[in-house]
Amino acid sequence: MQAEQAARSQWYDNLGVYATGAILTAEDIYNNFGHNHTSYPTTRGGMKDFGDYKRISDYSDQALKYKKISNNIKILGALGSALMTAQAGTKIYNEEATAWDYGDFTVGAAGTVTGAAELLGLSTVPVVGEVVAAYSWFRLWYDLGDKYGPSKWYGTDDRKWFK
Amino acid sequence: MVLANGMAQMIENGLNKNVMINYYYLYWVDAIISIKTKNPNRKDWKYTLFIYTTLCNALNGWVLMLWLKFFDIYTFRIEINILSGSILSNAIGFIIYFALPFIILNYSLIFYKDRYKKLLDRYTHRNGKFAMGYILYSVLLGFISAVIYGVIS
Repeated sequence: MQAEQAARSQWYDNLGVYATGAILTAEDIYNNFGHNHTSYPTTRGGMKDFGDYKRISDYSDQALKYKKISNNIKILGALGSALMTAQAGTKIYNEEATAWDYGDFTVGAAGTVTGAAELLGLSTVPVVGEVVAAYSWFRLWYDLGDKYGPSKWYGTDDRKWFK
Repeated sequence: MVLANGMAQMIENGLNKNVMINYYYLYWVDAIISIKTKNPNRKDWKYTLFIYTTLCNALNGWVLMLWLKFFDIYTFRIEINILSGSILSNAIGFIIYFALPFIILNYSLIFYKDRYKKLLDRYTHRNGKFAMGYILYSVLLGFISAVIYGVIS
């Protein structure tokens, strides 16, 4: 009974972790593929460039809304890269790392360098941000499949069905 | 002669300490002026720069501890049982063990009461290249250490 309760608690904990991961990853995808950070849709259905404005105080409500989203997802993007590196760093330090953790560490580090170069206004390799976002998305679903996919639907014994 | 040597050592240590503090502030001034010049409309710069810099600082600490562990000089295990889901626990563990001292240091020395504004007049900037150099060095050092440690441990 106690073991069952512990397993249920673990399941909910994992779900919470994956929900957080999904939000951060979806944000990263939107950051790189959805929001272009240079223009926004106007209320009349057109597109306008943020650069048309000289001062932030001249922004319309619609422009401000999209500018705010742009700023927030950039912060979350930086946080996502940092967390990916951080969690892999712990596993490497504790000598529990798998090949995936080295991949996480590398991708998080690449995301950090690209994000920092972009922030400092230096030239960046254009596709790195997109690759980081795509990798995070793939990694999340792979991990979810590994823990909750069809092979786990009938317990941890994969041969149970044949017995 | 011994006294002279000791004095020379003290002066040298004092100068080195100042140089380290100067490089620390130089990094921040270089990064902030570079952002203000090249990305003046980015309102997220404080948070984003804080995250990137603290991660780089923490990575340097992580590399140091990794090699101290490898040579059996100082060893500990990162264990945080806040949530049983390992990804979040590991990330929180890294933050508490390696990033927290730098979070406090960077916030209190740079952003508390907008201290960076006073520093901007005192230091010259180098078009962001010094700041980028530090970030690149930290990440590469972390990456190379992780690979070498993984192979030989």
